[in-house]
Amino acid sequence: MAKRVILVDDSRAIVATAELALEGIINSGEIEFKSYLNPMELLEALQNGSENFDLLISDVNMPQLNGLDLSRQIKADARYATKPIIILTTESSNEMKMTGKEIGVTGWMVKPFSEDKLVKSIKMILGV
Amino acid sequence: MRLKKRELQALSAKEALNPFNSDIRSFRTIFTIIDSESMMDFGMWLYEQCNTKESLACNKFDSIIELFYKLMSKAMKKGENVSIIIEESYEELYLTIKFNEAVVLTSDVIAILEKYGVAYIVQDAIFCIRLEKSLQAEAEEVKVPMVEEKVVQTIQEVHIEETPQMQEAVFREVRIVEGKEKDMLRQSFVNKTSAADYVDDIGGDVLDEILDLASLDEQWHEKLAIIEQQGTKESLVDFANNVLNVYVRALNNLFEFTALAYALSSLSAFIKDSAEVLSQDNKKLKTLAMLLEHLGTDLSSWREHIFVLQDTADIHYLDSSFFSSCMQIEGIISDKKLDVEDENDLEFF
Repeated sequence: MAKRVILVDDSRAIVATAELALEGIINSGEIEFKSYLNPMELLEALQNGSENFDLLISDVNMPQLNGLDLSRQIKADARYATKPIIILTTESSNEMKMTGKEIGVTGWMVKPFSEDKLVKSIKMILGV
Repeated sequence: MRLKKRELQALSAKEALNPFNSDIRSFRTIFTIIDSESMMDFGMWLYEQCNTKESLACNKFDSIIELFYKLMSKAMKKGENVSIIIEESYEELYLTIKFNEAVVLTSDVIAILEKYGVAYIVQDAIFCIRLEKSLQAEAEEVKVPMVEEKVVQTIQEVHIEETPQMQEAVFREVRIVEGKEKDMLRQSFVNKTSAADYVDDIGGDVLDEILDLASLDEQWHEKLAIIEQQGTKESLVDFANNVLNVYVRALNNLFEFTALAYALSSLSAFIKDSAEVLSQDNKKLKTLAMLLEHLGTDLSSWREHIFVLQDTADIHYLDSSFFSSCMQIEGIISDKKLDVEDENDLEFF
């Protein structure tokens, strides 16, 4: 059964490039992919149970809600507390990474991302 | 011999304005700041210094621009005209701002000075910073925090079994992101400026030019539709010159968004350079048109949030992300792997 990967990023261009990068594992049925441009919409869907995920990939700087705050709120919900979250951002400061670590995110990847390494990381985390 | 003799002489008979060093060379560069355009002239001068000489503290370029922009904006708000006087010794550069009244540094300015470790002196109505001309001297001062090493070690422990497909991908040409590009990608601003405060500071003429960019949206879509259906070398060059470069010219009027202007300018150059090859590859033309369409939507949404709605708390929320999108598009279209100096690995916590 395909694993559900969600990407949340306010940039349409990033969502499109990520979807292109993941095309191979989407078409092979290894993952199903869904994107959100607004983190508030994702949070609401997760809270009301209409959405679920096996892996969440989140940007940090988004106008509506910071990706780290989004992760914190998701991790605080027992239903998603153990689900993996990867931060995909241009931010690379140690302070930010330490905050991510404290929140309990699984890992940190910087933009611009290497398509191969993004695919490899997803496959490794999901075991597909 | 002449050089040797010169070492023993005072470099200038003039009295130095900067409080750091009286032994300066016999020339000065002076900027009279009366409006946003003259502020931009100073920014462009500093930018050109970084590009033309492999000296000057280019690694502090963004922080200096941010610092001077804040100081000059505050003075202009009070109706003061200020001057920036640049003096040089052989090893150092002194940038002095001369105000009409005694200088009082606000907490946001002090935060920038402390964060970037800029040497400065305030004396009555004068504010002066000192920069090393040699980049190497400054680089030696940079200390790598322990946490960075720890993260790298963790990555090395991760073993990923590669499939034949992955191994094949490894042999793609690599586009390394380093130096100035990497600095722009990773730049961060100490204090967040809200869109409302920012728009309040910029001149009406500049704002009008930015707002006029809304009329480009239609051309953006129309020209991309042509590229998607039947792209030619001419249509690609036309899009780069008459859409992307129009944006670049408008953004170049704004100190704060040099990274966005640079990103668009690089993308424009890439499209023009690849126009011939791209025009013979329908699949790539369609992909490029699709990605540029999304990029255009991001840009127009940014313009709306900053200049029209003025509803974002951080005017730089898009900068690095946009630059990264442009590089990502370039990577996909040119079939090159992006490598940000070994930063692309997933760091596990």
